[in-house]
Amino acid sequence: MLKYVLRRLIQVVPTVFGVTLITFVLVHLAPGDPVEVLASGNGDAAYYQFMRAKYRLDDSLLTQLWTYSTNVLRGDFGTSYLTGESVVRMIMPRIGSTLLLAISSIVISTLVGLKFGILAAWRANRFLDRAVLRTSVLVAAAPSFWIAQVMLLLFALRLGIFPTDGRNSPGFEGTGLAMAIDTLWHLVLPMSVLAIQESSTIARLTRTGIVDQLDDDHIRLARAKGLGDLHVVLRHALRRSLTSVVTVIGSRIGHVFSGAVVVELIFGWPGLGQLILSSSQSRDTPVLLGVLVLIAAAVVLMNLLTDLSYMIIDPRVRLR
Amino acid sequence: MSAPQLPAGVLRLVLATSGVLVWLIVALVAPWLAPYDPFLVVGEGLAAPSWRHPLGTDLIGRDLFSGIMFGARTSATIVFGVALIVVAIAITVGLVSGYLGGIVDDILMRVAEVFQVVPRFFLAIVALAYFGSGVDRLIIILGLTSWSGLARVVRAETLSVRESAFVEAAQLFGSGTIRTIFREILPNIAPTLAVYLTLLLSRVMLLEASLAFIGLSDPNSISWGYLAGSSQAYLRSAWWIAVFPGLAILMTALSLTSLGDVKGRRE
Repeated sequence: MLKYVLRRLIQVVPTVFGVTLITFVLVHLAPGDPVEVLASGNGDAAYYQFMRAKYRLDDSLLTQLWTYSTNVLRGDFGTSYLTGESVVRMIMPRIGSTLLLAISSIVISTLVGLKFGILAAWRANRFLDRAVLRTSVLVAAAPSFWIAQVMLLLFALRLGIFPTDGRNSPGFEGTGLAMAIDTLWHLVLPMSVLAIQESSTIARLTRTGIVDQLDDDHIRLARAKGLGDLHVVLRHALRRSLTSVVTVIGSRIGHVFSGAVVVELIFGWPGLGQLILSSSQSRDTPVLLGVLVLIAAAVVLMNLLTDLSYMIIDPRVRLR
Repeated sequence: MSAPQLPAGVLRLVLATSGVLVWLIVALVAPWLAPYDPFLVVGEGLAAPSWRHPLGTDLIGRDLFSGIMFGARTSATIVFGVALIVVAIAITVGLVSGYLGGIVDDILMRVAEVFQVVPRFFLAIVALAYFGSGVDRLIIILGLTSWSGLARVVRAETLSVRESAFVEAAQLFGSGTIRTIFREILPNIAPTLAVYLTLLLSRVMLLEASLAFIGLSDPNSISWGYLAGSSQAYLRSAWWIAVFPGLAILMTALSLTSLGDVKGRRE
């Protein structure tokens, strides 16, 4: 088992490197000169020369890629073209915000999605099942920014129950519990937008997974023995369809991060999504690369965790 | 229920088809149908929906209803452009992979796998921010990153059709590879392909809208995502700019998915 974990850990490296490589090549092929960003549009030829040398912009693509990769492995993500600030220091305070948003929405949507998926499968083809299915089709067709803005209009601007933006109230001084409550209050709306989308997907796929299992022989046997419907759904069908549910949740993490970009913009949530937008608009390549490398690593690690959790759910996987 | 019932799915099929048709017709005739030029100031800024401006106006007084009609044009152009690229790549890769098998199949499927895990949204952000946005670039980047799922479907279908009796029969009667592919295999996988394509296109539409929303739309054409994105600053005073463009996207994407869904269930 340890060998399997190690082998999977090593597979993380090429994927993250692939993302770095693609971004590197794209940025390089793009028209325009990074020096202009560095000099904010002014400066003379000598200054340009100095900046080129400082950021090693005249090295070949391969050399730059090599320098960057080895630096990243040592934890050095370079400095911002725009402000000269260390990229790590710019990213650090934002990681927590984005993780809070992503993890809370994944946890909530898993609970809600599983619950409705199970209920729908239990009442397959009846009213509740249809309602769950229709809702999930509707939600899947709605742009996330639309859900976010409508919720903002409704719950923040019209009803005034939740704040419109930010992670804490302006000028908030409290600490400890008061701080946590204030953050939670700000978290509800952005988290809900992501959770609504994820939970409808999870509900639909859980339902399908369970219903597929209900036709299986061992389920028929359990039923023939006189076990109740809900009992069969929970104890037998759910257990066997759990691997596919876990796969879904694991594969959604990338989706949650993309969704976070839009949601962070709308709710002024100070996370990595905002940093991606601002750095891509200002062509601040080191910052952009740093965030993308981190997100790629997070997505790949999450997939790894998913794979490992199979071993707990399904003992047959352990034998391979 | 005692009320006379339509066969299952007919109502949805009718609604979905009309939804898609309305979108396409508006896209085609927007310049003649729209009450105003969507780029011109034709009223007061931030005017609420009224008879003169059924969906209100934006900050400087451009008509939102006309903007949404022209937005249909942009979304249809992008969606069909992406469809062309995706279908061309997916059919080529899927057919070659499924028909030849062996090492070619292995290599092509590895490549497809890479494209499946590439974070499309982030890649698109980087590409559009650095190369500048435009309808052509949106089509290329979304097309090049969206074909892998469909290629797998084509490959799987090709594999199963290839083994079938009628393909063997055709080959026994001297039908060559090219002829077999075009006369026997393609027509047989077309229905499944169409189902997956409609679902894929609704996702492409949402992705394009999100990119436009965050400010990466073609500066020379109006799109639904761009309109919705422009609302963010005046959300307090002009709810209509946020609500209606998104509603147009929702209806169109819903029609596309329902169309694929109903067709899929009829197979």
